[in-house]
Amino acid sequence: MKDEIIIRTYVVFLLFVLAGFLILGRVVQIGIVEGESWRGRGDSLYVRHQPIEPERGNILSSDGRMLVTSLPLFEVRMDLLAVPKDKFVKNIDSLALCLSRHLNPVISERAYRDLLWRERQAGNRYLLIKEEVTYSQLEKIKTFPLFRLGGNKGGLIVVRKSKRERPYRMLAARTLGSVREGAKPVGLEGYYDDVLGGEKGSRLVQKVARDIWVPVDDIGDFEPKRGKDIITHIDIDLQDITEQALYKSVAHHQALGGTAVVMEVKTGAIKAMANLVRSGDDIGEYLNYAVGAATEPGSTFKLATMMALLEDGYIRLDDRVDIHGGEVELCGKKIRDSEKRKGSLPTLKQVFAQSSNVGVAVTAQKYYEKNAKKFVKRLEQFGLNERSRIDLEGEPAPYIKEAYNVEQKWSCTSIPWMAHGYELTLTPLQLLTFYNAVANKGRMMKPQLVHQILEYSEPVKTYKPQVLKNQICSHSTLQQAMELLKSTTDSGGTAYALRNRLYKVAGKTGTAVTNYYKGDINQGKKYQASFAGFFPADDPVYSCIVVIYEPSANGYYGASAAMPVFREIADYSVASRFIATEDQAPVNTAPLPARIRAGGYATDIRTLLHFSGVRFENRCLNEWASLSPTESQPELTGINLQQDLVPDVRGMGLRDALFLLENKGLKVRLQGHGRVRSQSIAPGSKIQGQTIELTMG
Amino acid sequence: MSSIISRNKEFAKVDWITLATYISLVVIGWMMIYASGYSELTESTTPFFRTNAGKQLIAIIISAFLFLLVFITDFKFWSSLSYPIYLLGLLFLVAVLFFGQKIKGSTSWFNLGGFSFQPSEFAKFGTMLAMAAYLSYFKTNLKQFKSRLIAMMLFAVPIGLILMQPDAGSAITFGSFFVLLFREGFNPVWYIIGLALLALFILALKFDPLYVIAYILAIGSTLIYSQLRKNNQQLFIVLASWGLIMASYWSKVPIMAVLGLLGTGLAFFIYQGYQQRLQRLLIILVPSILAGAAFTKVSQYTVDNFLKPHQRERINVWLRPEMCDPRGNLYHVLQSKLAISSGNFSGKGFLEGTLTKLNYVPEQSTDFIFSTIGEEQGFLGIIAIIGLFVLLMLRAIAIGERARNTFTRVYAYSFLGFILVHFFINIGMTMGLVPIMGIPLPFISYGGSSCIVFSLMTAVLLRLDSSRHFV
Repeated sequence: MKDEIIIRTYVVFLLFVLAGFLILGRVVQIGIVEGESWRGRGDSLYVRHQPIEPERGNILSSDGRMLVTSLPLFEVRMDLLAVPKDKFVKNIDSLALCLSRHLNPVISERAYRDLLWRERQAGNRYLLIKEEVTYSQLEKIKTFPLFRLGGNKGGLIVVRKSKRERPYRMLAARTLGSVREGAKPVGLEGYYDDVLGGEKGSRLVQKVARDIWVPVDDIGDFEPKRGKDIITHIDIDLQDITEQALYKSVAHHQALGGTAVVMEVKTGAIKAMANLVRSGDDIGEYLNYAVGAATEPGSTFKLATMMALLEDGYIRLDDRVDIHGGEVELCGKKIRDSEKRKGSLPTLKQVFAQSSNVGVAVTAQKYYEKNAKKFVKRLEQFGLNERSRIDLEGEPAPYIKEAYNVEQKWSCTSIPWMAHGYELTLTPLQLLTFYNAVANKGRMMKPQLVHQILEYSEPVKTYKPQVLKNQICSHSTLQQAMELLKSTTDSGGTAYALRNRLYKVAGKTGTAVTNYYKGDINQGKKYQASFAGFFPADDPVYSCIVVIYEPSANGYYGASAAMPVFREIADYSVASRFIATEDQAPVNTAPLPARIRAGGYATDIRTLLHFSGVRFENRCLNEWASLSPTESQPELTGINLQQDLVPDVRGMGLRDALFLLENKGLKVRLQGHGRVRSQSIAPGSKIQGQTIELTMG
Repeated sequence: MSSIISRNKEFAKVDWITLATYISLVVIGWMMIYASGYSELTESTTPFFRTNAGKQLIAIIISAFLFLLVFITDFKFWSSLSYPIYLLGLLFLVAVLFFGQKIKGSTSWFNLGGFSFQPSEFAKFGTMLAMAAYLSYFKTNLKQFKSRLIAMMLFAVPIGLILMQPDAGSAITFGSFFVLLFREGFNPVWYIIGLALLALFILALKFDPLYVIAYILAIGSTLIYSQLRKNNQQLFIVLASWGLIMASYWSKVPIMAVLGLLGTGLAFFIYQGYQQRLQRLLIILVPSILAGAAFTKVSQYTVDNFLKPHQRERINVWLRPEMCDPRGNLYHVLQSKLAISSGNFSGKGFLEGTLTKLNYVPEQSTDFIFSTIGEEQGFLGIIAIIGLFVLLMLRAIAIGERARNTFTRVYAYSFLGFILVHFFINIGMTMGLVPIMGIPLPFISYGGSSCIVFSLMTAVLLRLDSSRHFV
């Protein structure tokens, strides 16, 4: 009995000794056996790399004007627990007053006070005060009660951000594209995202208290690399004219939208690309029709049909065709011309110039009904089945049926309907690329928006013109195609209205019915008016396509809705090439002191001078400086930046000037390119949120 | 003999080692609570006595006061008031269900104007006294079923009430009375069966229960074989059974086929055993095998289907961490292990624990205080804490065994049981050794009720021990 109790006592004793050893064993396992991996994980918890966003590159026009740039903006937040209670109580009323009066009058002083109290109770250490604040506003905010105590004591937290800004607003907006949070950028911003985006930097930060991270001084820091700039081929003035003309037409014809593209014949460079979409009463750049919208082109496609027939040697332009008075039934479906015609049989040239659907359809059917493969092969030869490969995302491939392919619903109607631009789809840009090839003596160029990539203002990459097809057809076919395209402006031709005494145009109208297959013609036909061509006809410089989608008032024909846009573009282009325009100096211009040579960020200038070995007199104590020549050596003097006074930005580059002026709360308008030559508001004037006009040169 | 003098003598007979251990634990505990709330960079606006460390200091002062109070009362006070205290504890447990405050899904607390009080802690003390009183009653005889039943009912009732809160963690700690009952002569067979079932439960969750059943069948065959007059055919079948298990482990033999073959093998041995008149063995073995296999399957099924989601999560964190989201429930254990391992041999130093200061370990002042010790005091600190607890339990045995009355002995072993269970479960859970349960580390964890009640338990233990020569 006694022994048993002793045994049981020992068992209990062993039990807790065992428990102790189990725990000890586990500690050894965690601390020593698995120790390294646990400690490695531990470090990653309170030290981490924080990315530093690089500044995004600019997008420039062909003459170096800024189409898209990044402006500095600040997000203001508040750490409500950073302020001791007594100070908080003392200052909350005046802070709320300041916030309400200067930041957001919609929120009353009382509402601000309640908000600050409530969030302090809730322990908010990152309260959003205002999302987008300019530099000048920020300077003001820093003078508010509490905030003037600085970050650690007053709880002011400033997060630097930048905002993409298009100084020319809507101009080519969709082509330039946009950067959106959490989505892939579109337009050029998207296609050249890698170039513009730069490289993220990173710095090591350490967690020192709950939710507080401070940078650690460490050689492991990587400076962010600023994005490169890109120079496009876009000509701002031409783009402006194009967009305005397109806007007029879309508005006048109450259309769904429209697109117009201008291309340089020899190089394929896109000089202007406008896209307008109606959304309610608003018309804006929201979709890129030119690149993304594949539709049935209609009559503008007849050029390809005629060229195929010519290339195969089936026809001559003076062959006569029976157009059956403008209406014929082929394969059980009627094909009509826009108007009934009587009288003698027209030549094929007249058929083209007057855009007779019947004439083209009947001729194509006659020669290609039995060997459609030949027709399709010709279209392929003209490069019409391939993408234009423009440097923008979202281009669909053209759709051209394979000959006799039943799965693609090839039927008896296919040849005659394809001949006048149906049963196949192309984007406006693809068709333009084809027309451009005809203008360029048969050489098909790749449409290209971007000309160069710049790094620190030095070109690092130049995109040379790229040939897609060296010769799309024979020389004689080309000559005859040219003759056809010119004939439209002859008397009786559809583009007669383009005829003028200054220059000749070659081109073709198109009016496609877009809802013929749906059978619900009852709702009224919908149209797509277009015009494709080039000018001057004898020595083409620019090719251009204009498409107006679903015009619903004041005429729907290509000649009435699309052609006037083309006309304005052509008029402007020809005029600007032959008549030199003079920059008009704005009124109230402070004349540029001749001695100023350059201005800008003082450190930059000094670095540059040191780098190039120029000796200079350094008299600058300010952040910004201007460099001026003297008798002996250049002199660097400081530019005085006073609160509320317009700074002197003459001699500066656009970036610096824009930075200074916009930060002071001025709105900037630009003219010309290069350095600032004059500013419309004299330095030293009081700033009251005016618009300042800069003349560059 | 005047009572004043006797009291002085009683003070002289205090078990100083136990007292010193107790004081060390409380002081270390308070320092760790201070450390876990400390952060030099955040400006604290809370007054000291509203911080955890401040509130704990109040609890410690109350505890010291209670200590003195216990020592000026007569030791017989506790044995005579055992049942009333026990009943008061039960009353609190009932009352808390109606008037308690619901925190994180369980009604375990009274809120008395800024102070909260956890009746389950007090019930521990009451149950210890009641158990001591009952087992020391002259009519109680644990050899009788009735006495055993009443003894178990004494702690089954508070367990039931606590489960209604529900607070499974606190309820489990009352299982610690089985340590006492073992010392008082409960049949060890039940303990062995209990441990075997626990082992099966763990194995069934850690591994595929079907494989566990396969092992049970093979072990059964082997056991019968060991008792048979052997021949080569039987040896072959035994070896084949084990070979089959190995094969199914290495390759993709369908487990049901393996189970079928093993079952056939076992049936063969049962038949052989029957022929060779091993009925006694079979009567014990066959039901055990069947029950074990059933339990294995049932335990996994129970965990997956009948437990509450948070309980299932905790079991998964414990036995099947690969099934858990490291940002979810596993987070506690991962962070805690991280903190413990980051302390290395000698720790980062007092108030230097980065993970602790940055609040990386959740509930680090209460249930996970051990991780703060691990980080700031390192391996040495951990050894010290384990050493102090083991020493305390050792003293409890010594006090129990040198006591001349049953009351003190039972009380000492109950004390030991509670300390052991809290110590093992709390520290074990910070390292993933046992599932997470909301159980404090006695004397160390932040929490007024726990600190005061464990101090009271210690005080009474020392008081009973100091008067051992009077009985």
